[in-house]
Amino acid sequence: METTQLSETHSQSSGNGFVIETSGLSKTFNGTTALKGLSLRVPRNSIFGFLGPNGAGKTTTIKLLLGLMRPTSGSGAIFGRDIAADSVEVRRRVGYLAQVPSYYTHMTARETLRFKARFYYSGPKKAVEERIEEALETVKLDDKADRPIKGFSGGERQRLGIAQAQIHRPDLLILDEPAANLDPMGRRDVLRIMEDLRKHSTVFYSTHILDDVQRVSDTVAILNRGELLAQAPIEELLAGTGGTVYNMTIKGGYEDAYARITAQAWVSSVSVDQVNGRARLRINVTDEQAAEDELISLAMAGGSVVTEFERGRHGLEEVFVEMVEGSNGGH
Amino acid sequence: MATEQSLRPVEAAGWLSGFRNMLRKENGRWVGTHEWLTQSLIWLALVNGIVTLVLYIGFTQAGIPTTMDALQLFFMLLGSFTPFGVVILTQSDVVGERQSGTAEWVLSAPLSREAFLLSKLAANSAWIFATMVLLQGVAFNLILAAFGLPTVPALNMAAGLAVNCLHLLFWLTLTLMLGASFHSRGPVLGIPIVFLILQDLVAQLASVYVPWLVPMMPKSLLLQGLQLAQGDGVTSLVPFVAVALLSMVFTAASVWRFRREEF
Repeated sequence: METTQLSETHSQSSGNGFVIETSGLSKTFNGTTALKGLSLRVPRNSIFGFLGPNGAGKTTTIKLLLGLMRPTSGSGAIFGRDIAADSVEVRRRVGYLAQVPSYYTHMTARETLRFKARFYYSGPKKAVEERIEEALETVKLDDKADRPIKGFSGGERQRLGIAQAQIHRPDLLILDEPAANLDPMGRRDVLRIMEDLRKHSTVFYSTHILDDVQRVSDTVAILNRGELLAQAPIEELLAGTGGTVYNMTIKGGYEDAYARITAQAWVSSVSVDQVNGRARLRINVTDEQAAEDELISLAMAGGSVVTEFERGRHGLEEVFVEMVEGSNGGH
Repeated sequence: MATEQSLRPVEAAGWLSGFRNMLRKENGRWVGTHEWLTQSLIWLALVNGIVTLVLYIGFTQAGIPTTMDALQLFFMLLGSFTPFGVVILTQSDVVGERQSGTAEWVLSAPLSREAFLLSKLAANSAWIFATMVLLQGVAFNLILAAFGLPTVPALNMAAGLAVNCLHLLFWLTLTLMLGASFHSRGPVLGIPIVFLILQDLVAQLASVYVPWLVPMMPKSLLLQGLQLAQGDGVTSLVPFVAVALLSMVFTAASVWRFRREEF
């Protein structure tokens, strides 16, 4: 279907390639600091994963960006417009899905989308209704479009939330835990929709489901206790943990091999998972050359049988846990 | 697609941003949930039902009542009961939306805080005036005609009813201001209700200690409304000015407070 971006007359960013820019953004509630000097840059047309444990300050950041809260200090801009002073203008180009979406329950899904659409555009009824129908089909709610929302399940409300957030084809979508209330199928659909939306929009979403982030995000920021721990393209974040990891599978007894490997100065850590009589070693090293030359011989020296050996990747979960625990002082 | 291209961005800016859509939604709530019908029937029963009953008893047992007797009763019932209705009906308008999360949702769209509040004020005013006041005035004259009594001249009736509308606007804006200021329904409902119940006592005390305050109290306006409906002139402009000013102050305070609200 050929479509027209209502906002295509606007530039997609503030001119320097970033859709969202914050500088020292802070928020304090009754003496408790929820956000400490957040400086964030979200590239245009990216799927930006905003990660953090519960209470990290993700929702506070989102509400500050949308003008639903006022910053205690610092500033922020979306499309080059100040998030506090120009909030209404900013919101014309932003679609938002709240963590717990709320609607007027006397309305049906179709009426809800019609109501939301009227904030952004007007035009022939047929054209508006076509846009609404398309949004309903995208989130697979077309068969429930005329039922009152009060009978909707959590997943259906979430899908309606995604439909209403993108009803005006926004330049920026801000989604707060978009997959939190969904079953695996629903999550897969949401990720697919997000990937489709990036063709026209930038997607900024908060989550703590790390698998999803690794699947669809291209840039990631990690927040903990209101502080930004890292912000980087996901490949950079996964590669930049200060070492390389190798995976080795040993059949039978692994203890001797484990002892010899951990004794090497260039081995920083080894973790072991045992499955079906096989031990899977995850070996973090600081010297790639030494590892590739010596690891297999070290393992086989005592008669152990190595069935698999490969250079591994650091998972996002590892990076995330390492950073968050590090910032919590190792606890 | 040609039709798709004909969609136009909504251009309203400043405090008007989103007002039209919210007003439409607020009106839709009155129509879609049949609130207009419910309120019309409640006040027909409470105000004109009692008038009809009293007229019926008067015709059958006591001396034949006059139009003026009925008019005094009508305005007394209208002025006493409807403010309670306004407070009860609108007390959850702002607090309820804040608690349910719908306020956060609509304010994430290009809707100004002013438009959020003023659309509620505009829609509620219109429907409350229509169902609680104007419809009741029309019904009252029809009842008089049904009993064979002379009806109240339309202009006099309109003037009297307009004063009642101003009176209700005071309670509506007060409730709106409290809704914008508090996060729970208790004070939003309780403060106006207590004031409504105690206002006669307050007026008595005020007449002793601060007599200049009495004509500024909202209830003083009701006497002016009755006088206008009876075809008499207005005896004092003070209640009009005071209630109108207070309503404006309450509205301005609502907007001031709501602009600082965080969601």
